[in-house]
Amino acid sequence: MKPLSELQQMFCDGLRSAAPPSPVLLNEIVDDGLQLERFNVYRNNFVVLNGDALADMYPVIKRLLGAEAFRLLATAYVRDFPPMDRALLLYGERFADFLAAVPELSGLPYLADVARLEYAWTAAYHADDVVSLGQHQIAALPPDGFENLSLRPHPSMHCISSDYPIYSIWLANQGEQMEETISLDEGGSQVVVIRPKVEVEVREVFPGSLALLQSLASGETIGAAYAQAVEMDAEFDLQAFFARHLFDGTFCELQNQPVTD
Amino acid sequence: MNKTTTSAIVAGAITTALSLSPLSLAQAADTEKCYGVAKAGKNDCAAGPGTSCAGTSTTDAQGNAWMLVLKGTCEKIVGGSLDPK
Repeated sequence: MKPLSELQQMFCDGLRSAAPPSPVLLNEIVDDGLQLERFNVYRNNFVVLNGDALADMYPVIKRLLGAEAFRLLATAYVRDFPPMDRALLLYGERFADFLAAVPELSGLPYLADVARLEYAWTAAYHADDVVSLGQHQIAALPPDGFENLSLRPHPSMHCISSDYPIYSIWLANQGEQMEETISLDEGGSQVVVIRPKVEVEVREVFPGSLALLQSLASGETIGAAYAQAVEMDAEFDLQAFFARHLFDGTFCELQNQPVTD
Repeated sequence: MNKTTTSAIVAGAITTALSLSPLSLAQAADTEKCYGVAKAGKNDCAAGPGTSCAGTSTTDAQGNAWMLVLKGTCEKIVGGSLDPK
């Protein structure tokens, strides 16, 4: 009889491997002539259920590749990157990088960024709730100090800048059918994934908006973030951006600022 | 862009945003996360991976010839470097 820890390690290695389990492991299982079959139930569940979790995380990638190709890739991913947490809620964090490294998929260069978008969706869904910035907080402050405020974007926010039209690709694969053809010649897209209140929003934004949000997220003041946004995108319109997003839950309530009723 | 301009633009943009709806609305109450918010691309209420713990009757797929079995919507994404030569 082997020590339990050794047996468990051997069992885990056997689950991950595609090769037949070692005779040493099978010898540890009750000898009724069905050891291999019974071990394979565990192995199959390990690979398939984690692959199912990956398919739940990446429904658009699955549609883009087809179920059969997705299953093969998922099996390879599960073996290379098994879950490290007991919960599978955010399983598949490295799938985008994994896809980018598969040589046979190099003809589909947009896949990895679409996968990043899908991961961001679920990560945003499970992100912490926060209290949104309210008008009463801003209205109490003198306008000439606005540029020195630090505005914190909602912690669910993910910014993705891609060389490919990933927003169009993602959107076209939300319904039952993908009717239209999408050309990669549309060019790149900047996508913000955020859950301002209850629902996850996937927004395609101008480069300046992305720069503004990323600067604010890194702790810059509104004035400094605006300067960076204009540098990135001379057409950036702060007034239009704030009219739409200042109080829609994109930003958290101000910290360490005077609050009046 | 000089400092005064930035300051004025920021002040103007925020003042405009403030004027767009009455202050009396203050802050709408945030509601709880709704289980019914479905994962995009799905039609049920699952909230992504790990929300089912059933066993499986699916059989593991073997092999790595994934290009041979590609038949998803990726064929509708064209152009760029993918144009046939």
